[in-house]
Amino acid sequence: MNPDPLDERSAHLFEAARQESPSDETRRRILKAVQEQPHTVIISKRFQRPGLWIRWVFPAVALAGLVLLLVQAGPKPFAIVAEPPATGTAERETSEITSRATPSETVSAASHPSGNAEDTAQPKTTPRSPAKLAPPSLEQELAGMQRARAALNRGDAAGALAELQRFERTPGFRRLTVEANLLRIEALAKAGRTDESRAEARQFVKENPHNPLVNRAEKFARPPASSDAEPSLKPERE
Amino acid sequence: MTDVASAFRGASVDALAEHESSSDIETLLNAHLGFIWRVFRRMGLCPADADDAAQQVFMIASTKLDKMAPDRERAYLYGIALRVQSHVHRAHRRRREVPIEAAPERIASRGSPEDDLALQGVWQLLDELLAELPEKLRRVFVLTEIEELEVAEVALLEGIPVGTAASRLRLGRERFRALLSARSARSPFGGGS
Repeated sequence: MNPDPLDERSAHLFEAARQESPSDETRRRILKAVQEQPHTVIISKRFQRPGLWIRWVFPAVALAGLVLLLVQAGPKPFAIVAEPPATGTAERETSEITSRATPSETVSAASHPSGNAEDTAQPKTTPRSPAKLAPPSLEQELAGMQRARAALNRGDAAGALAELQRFERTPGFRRLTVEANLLRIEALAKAGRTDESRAEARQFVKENPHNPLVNRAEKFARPPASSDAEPSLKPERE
Repeated sequence: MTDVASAFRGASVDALAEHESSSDIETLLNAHLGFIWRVFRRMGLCPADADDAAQQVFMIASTKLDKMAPDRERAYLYGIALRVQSHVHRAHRRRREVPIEAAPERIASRGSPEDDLALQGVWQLLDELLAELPEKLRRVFVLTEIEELEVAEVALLEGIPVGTAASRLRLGRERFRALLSARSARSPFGGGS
């Protein structure tokens, strides 16, 4: 029985398609881009290692202590909602830390109504269970960056810095850390905190030498030619 | 707060974890880049766009290595690839760009320049025929006939019942055969390369 020429031709086409592959240069480029991507899964994997949690417990306790001091000292400047990370062990430990902090927060919220609905809605005597928030989505992160950029564009450098502080305090893995760092560098410069801006810009350049956005930080890392020179980090339109 | 930030920033990076993660992504890339890249090519992307799209897939995947079960890597990457492909097509429609065919040096050379040219002609013919298939049929057809996956695995990748995958494959084969037959009939040489 003679083979069907159409089947033979199809087989030839398919075999040729299987031979097509990305070049070695493409493979190398992709690998390099992935390996140089900042804040990849290295961070999340470290969260999964039980032993490494020791490194996080003490800073978390210190942070909780600082929050307690601030809450007891005066009006609560911000609300902290602890978000337990993805792993079971981490969830238990973070919940313990948060529940220790909540009674004071609850009392303070009652005595200093700051308009924060999450705090004032809770009864006085019942400790507030930590709200379980999902890590911010990419859209939420982008919205935060856009709010910070908008504040900067209208001359509100302090507002931009506050927005970026909220971004930094949001628990969970963040994808736009590089963009947030760059915005912060610019906001510090526009707020007149040029020394801090320069120091953070230099740190950024040192830590991210191959990042495509490094040239934006380099402008702020240089010593000022004049006191009025403030380059803009406005993203270029693609 | 600055000291805490430094700790969070990873001042004392676990070198072993970093090395393991880097090895994981390299292993993933070596195992699946060809598959993902060819899927993009057969979905209509030119080699340059396929390069960029594949890079996006692995950059996204590198942030989700912990969520990837070892025996489900290809399915996970394929899911990301479909979303990336959708974004690329939308972007092309918005910009009304015409994908520029890549220069020959972008494609892995298989032999003599004549062989490469012949291969490119075959790929172009295949892509023209596949472009005539509805996308859902095309994906199943490509995964089965070109990537030689089992229908059950194709059903898993596509997130459809096995019966649906088999039905789409049958329809895809019928249509492809009809298209190839029509093309062969139009060709002055009756069979082409």
